Amino acid sequence: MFKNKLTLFGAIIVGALAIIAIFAPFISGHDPAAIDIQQALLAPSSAHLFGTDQLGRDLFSRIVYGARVSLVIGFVAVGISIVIGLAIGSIAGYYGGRVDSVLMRLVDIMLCFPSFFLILALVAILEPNIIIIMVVIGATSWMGPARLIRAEILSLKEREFIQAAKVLGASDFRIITRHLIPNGIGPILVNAVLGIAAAILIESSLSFLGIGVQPPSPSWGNILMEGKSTLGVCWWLLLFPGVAIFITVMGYNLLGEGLRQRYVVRDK
Amino acid sequence: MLLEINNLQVNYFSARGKTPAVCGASLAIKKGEVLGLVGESACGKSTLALSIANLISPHEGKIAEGEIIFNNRNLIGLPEKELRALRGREISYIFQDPSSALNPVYTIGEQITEVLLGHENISKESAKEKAIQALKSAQLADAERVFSCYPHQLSGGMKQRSMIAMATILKPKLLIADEPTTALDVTVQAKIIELLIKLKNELGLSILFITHDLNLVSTIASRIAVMEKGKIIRYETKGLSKPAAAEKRKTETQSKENVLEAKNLKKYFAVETGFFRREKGIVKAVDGVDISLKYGQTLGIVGETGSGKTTLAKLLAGLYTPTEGKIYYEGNKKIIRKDFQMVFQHPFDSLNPRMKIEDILKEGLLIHKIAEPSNIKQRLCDLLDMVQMPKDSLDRFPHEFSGGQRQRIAIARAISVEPKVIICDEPVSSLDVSIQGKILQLLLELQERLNLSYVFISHDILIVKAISTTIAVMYQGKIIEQGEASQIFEHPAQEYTKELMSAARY
Repeated sequence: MFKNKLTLFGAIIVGALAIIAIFAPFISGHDPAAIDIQQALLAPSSAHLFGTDQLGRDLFSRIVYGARVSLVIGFVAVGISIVIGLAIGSIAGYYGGRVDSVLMRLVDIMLCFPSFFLILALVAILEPNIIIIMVVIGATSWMGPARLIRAEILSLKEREFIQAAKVLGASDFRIITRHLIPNGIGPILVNAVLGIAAAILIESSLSFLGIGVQPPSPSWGNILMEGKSTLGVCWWLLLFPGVAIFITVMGYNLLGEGLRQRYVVRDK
Repeated sequence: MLLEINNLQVNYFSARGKTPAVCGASLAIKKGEVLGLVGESACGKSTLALSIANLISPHEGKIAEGEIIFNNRNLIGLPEKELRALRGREISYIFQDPSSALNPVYTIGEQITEVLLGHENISKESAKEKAIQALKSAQLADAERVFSCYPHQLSGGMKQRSMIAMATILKPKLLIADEPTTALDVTVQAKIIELLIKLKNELGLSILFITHDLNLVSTIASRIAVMEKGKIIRYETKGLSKPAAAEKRKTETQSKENVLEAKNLKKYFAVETGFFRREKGIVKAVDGVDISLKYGQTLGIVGETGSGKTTLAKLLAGLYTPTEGKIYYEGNKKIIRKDFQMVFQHPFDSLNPRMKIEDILKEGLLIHKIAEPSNIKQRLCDLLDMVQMPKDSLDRFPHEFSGGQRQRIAIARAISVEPKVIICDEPVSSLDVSIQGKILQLLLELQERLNLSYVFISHDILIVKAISTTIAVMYQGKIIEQGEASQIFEHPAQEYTKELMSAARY
């Protein structure tokens, strides 16, 4: 499994992040929302590992809780994109013909939008909260999974076990959900790991611009935004959230790339 | 002795270490003899053949032990340069699939003359002359044209003839033929065998003839070596027995009513080419077929590759909609799904690899609500029992079973919904010979027990004869002859039927 050292490294990062997110209350040591103006803008020390922000909140615990937000948004957004992608891609691949043409042109159209600006516009119109952000990211990133599952289904549907299911009298819904998708899901799941990294980056960018996760909920993006005003004085307010984003995205990308090489490339 | 192999051991390297492919095989070929080598797939026949002239890639495997004595010389450990001089000149090969053994970017002529120019010091002109001569003796009528053709311009049979010309042009002492006819149509197979026999007599060749087909090998070989799990387990002289089921005849049934009937059935496919999917023409896969099947009987449909058999099967099973014509299912136009089931050709493809056997067999029961939820388990065990599979199969996945076992599971799936008709599309052709008979036997038993009717499709007229009450011969989308099985077999009316039968006897 982990012949490749980089894949192993990625897996360790992903695993550690999951543990940090799940056990955040035990790891953090401070309440991430506890304001103490007298303690504002302290440099890192043994009392506050990563220092404190303008309102005197402990930066370490804010980053630990921020991991929760990032991971939840990453997983749920990718989950939404897979559900939409599977539905559209498998219908297009299975029925073919005109249905396929229409749905695939829809995919092409969606891909024409610069997706970040589309997300910006949507979030600006709607009220930015964590659920809206997840739905919007998911709804603008399903095209990749849709194309992947369509390609898988195009080749799978000629196989004899699909014909056998038809002869047995299985409905189209049953054939798609029980026979086609379980056999074609591999590349989509591998792709999903890479998708999580992308979703986390988008969330951070949105929060940095102030239209993502709203304070006081901590998110790496909005911690960066708040630290921007003291740039040059309080380096820790930019360094630690920046490093957190960097390591997380790198972890998912390394793991995703390793899985892709192992399962998708070798299958062909 | 021309060739003597003693205690040969060949290993392949894999992720898990060494995998032995040949483990202590010994055999000997006399001068001018044809030795047959038979065995099921993956028994190590091809590896044995490749190791004779040391064609095993050093990255993939290694001859670990043993000796290969050819003309009183041990070939193992011989430097590559001397081996190269031997290959083609003294030992040559013919492989299974001529389309992949010939290089697609060179003409046949270029490939044959390359052999000559590599081994002999002769001019290009005389090489061409010799090559055309060789093509002629391989019974290619139009040798000059074939010489300048690219492989894709030739049929499978012509390509294999060209391969034979190439392999015999230097008059080698030993010809190793690894399944040389498996990729060809039955009618072409017979002619290739004839050609090999003729060349053997003319050139005094010794031939090592490798195949999985016992009938075929007994027509050409005087002695047959049987290989199993990397070893030669016994020698046989001519006359191995046919599958047991082949002798069992169907009992007569008096029923007069048709359970399945097709009238003037046609299925055309449009051929689309180019960017804009223009229709370039049509393929008439099934072109006006009338057939009927009575209750409890078996209709055998026989024909070669591309004759439209599978298309017809899919039409009858309701998987395709006909272009023209009608199918009557017990007199109705609408198919009752559960009454008409199908068994497919490739057992490795017809079971969903992600489902356990339990889920595979249960699916039909759930769809048609055949068993009470509390009885399902019992019903599944009964089904496995009927196809003679152990009950603990339920918890396993398809990849844990062999081809024959998978085909039994596929049959169990077909009978799970209590059908009246099962359409069998080449159900045994991808199985090893020793398994074929057992599957046919099983089909006959189930027919009797469950009062099933079969449409049985195969390219092998002997198998069709063994199981069918009536036979229809299909050629280029049409039924050219049909009638009682015994009558077709004893008094064939069509030339093509006779050809199919003589091909099958090989």
